[in-house]
Amino acid sequence: MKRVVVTGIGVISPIGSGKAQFWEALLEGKSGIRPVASFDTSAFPVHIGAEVLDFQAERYLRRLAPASMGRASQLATAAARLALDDSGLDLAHADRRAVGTSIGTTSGEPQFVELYNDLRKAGNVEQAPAEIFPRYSCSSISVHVATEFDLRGPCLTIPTACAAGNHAIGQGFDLIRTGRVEAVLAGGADSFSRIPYMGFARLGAIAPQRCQPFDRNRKGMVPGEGAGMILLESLDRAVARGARIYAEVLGYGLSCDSHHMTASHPEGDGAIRAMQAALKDSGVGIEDIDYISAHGTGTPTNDRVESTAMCRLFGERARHVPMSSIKSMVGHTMGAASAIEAAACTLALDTGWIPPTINHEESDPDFDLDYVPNQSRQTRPQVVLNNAYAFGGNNASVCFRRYEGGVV
Amino acid sequence: MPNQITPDMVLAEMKTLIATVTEREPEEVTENALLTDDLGVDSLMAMEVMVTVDKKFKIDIPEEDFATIKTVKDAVAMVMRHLPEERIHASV
Amino acid sequence: MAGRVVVTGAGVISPIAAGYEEFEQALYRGESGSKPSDRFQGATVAEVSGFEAQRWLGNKGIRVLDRGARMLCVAAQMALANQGLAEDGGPEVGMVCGTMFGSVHSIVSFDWSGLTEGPSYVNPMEFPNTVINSASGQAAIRYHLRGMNSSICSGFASSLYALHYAAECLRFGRARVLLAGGAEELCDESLQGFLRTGMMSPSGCARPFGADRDGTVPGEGSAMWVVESEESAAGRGAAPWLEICGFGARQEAQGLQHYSPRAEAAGDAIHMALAASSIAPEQVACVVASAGGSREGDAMEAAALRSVFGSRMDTLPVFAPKAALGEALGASGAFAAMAAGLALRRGSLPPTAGCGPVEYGMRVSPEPQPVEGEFALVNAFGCDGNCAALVLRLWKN
Repeated sequence: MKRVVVTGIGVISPIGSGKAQFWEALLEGKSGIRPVASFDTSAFPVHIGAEVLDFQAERYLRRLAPASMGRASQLATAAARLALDDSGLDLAHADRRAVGTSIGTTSGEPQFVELYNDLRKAGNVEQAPAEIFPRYSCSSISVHVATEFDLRGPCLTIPTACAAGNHAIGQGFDLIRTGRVEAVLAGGADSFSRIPYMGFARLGAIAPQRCQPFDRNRKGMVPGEGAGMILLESLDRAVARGARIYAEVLGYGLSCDSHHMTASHPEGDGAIRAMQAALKDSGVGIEDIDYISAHGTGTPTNDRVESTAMCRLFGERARHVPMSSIKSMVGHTMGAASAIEAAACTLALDTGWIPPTINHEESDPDFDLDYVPNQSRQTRPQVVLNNAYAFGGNNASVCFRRYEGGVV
Repeated sequence: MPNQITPDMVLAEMKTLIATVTEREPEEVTENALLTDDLGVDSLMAMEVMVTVDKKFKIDIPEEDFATIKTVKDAVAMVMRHLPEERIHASV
Repeated sequence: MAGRVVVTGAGVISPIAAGYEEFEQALYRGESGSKPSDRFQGATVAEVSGFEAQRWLGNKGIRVLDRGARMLCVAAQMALANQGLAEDGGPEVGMVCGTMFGSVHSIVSFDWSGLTEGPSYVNPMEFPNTVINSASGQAAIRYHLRGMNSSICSGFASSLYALHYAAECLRFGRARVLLAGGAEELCDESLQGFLRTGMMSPSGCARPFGADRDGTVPGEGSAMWVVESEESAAGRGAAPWLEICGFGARQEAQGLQHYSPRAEAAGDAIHMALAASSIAPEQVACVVASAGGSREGDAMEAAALRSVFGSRMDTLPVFAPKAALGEALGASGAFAAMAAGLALRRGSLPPTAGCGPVEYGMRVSPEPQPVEGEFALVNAFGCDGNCAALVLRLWKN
């Protein structure tokens, strides 16, 4: 089995784009949550979101035209550009059949649904351009990324909602581990859309002003958009080309609550099993984990279930393992979330700093856990878990370890 | 929905609606039945009931109020409470 | 990594039949599912006509399931029946499902209701259906599938990828038993997609590799296998009939609607699958093609097959299921794999429905063809550049 490492990071997010800007913003506790700009929220009871402002796709695309794809594809391709540039991988001299693409998403390209319905409402549905139909399929996101960079290896989109980024990274990891490919651009992307916004607003799940994961008075999540892409490579190839190695991917675990489409299993059973499966796949134990990037949406239910799962699995050790949610800053970027969080995990391992959970005023009194309130901290984590939980009770955990060089 | 609404009309609507949402026969939905414990109405179903009721009766029940409803009878009373006076039947 | 991955159960809901045995019979009778649509006036499609999920699922708990989820649940239920897994799948039974458009109809409907009635009147029960993988989440709840749950979108190759990923996860010990395959719903929106992009056959007849082929016929349905490790099957006394061997996948990287005449990705995918199975082209006993009647697509596949098999293509029997089943997009790979499994077991390839004169010397036939050998090649090639191939082997202890 080949070892798999992260050699490039690309992020387009509501708090900044590019690895440096993103990481700096995270450590400073900057929030990307603001009044929604891209559509009129006056008919909604809530008005905040985490959008990527001033995104100019043409800055990142060279082969394909931005107008030839939806926004999620643009975000994904932009983040992929950043990750590839960051990695220094010379694609011109690489065997591009050995480079795959694996991207997660929740909504695919909802703007084409919106366009279709807007035209329908105006009585002009026959004016819907023919191209929107193939562009709508979420397969198109990974195809666009592969086409922009001429990547000829396996190419897939994994639409597993809010856990999609982790699923995509996991599948990329498997492809390299088995030697089927040498590198995979893996991550997730979603664009801001009225469709999930309406749904979450109707469920009463959106916070009125800010995102306060694990806080006693947390009121909900904040929908967002963005893309996170990491370049995964086999260790021997990365070393051979003198690549900068941020972290190693040790393994991942998946489970399903099989309980309810929008509510997690109350005792966190599914979350626990995903973490256990990740630990087993990674060959590490709970005693090795020293930081957790939480799913931490900020809803009363998720955070309670997640904290419960943490306590049940880690037992006595639980309160010694810092667990923070960057959704407090970045919002819930859906299919991009766990990919952006994976980027944060690799940077945490690389730099020794862990990002905070901001807006933390009073911890949930039912739990005695370290949520890294408000201030980033230099803890020098060695092994981290990235957790994600999605509609349909879909749970995914990915385990990363600091790469020290040499043979472990 | 006629313009002059009585509690009986609301009860009939409520029974049909809850029966549909919980996939039961309307006869099983009795006035004193507990929505959650007896009829298996979960959070998502409850919300569907609320949205449908709001649409049907052209009212707007705030979520905090809706959360206090325990039985079918409570639901009927809540609707009556939120109907504007002019739409309530004179006999009520 | 664990040993071999085997198939021990199957369920299918298709335009030609509901149920695995019925599917087999209809396939070998050369029946076609193309006919005037029940639901879309004036369109000739291969739809699951008169589909009433209640027949299998009962009346409870199906109200919120959309058509795609209903089809997936029916196929899953059929596959699970007689497995001793139906009551409580448990934490080690999961699902991997391929789909291309997922719940697009539900997404469009949900947005439409918000647009026309206002955001406060959207039905919250419909919101969960707006995630593309909602069908597999619903199936997991219904059948207590607490193992991994993944959905894969890679165009026409989606469910072939899903079968491969399921096999890989079993090899890695991520699950003990998996339901794997695909599900695709034909809806107003996807039908319009076929029409507006010029994919659709104006004659309403899909003629894979046909000299006068003029496009595809939109299809739908769901095909699911129960897959597990050899060890797991033996442990619970289940009888496998097929093994999932090697897989290959390549991307042409030319855009969303481009079948490459050079057929590089398609040819490479086949080579990868053969190499991953440790077999030579000579060992392939039959091919189940992806061809669905597209002029460029079928030409590309023929070129790919020729580049791998050379003159052997003159005698290698080929079956094109899309003649009977239409273009089921994300589910097509699973249908094709299921047909390949039947072919290996029976030692006979099904007839290609309505088969007339074909091009490229492809051995497609309106009659069943003998299959002499234990390996079948299944292709799934899309106009979005995603090309996948899977090798299946007749199971022998």
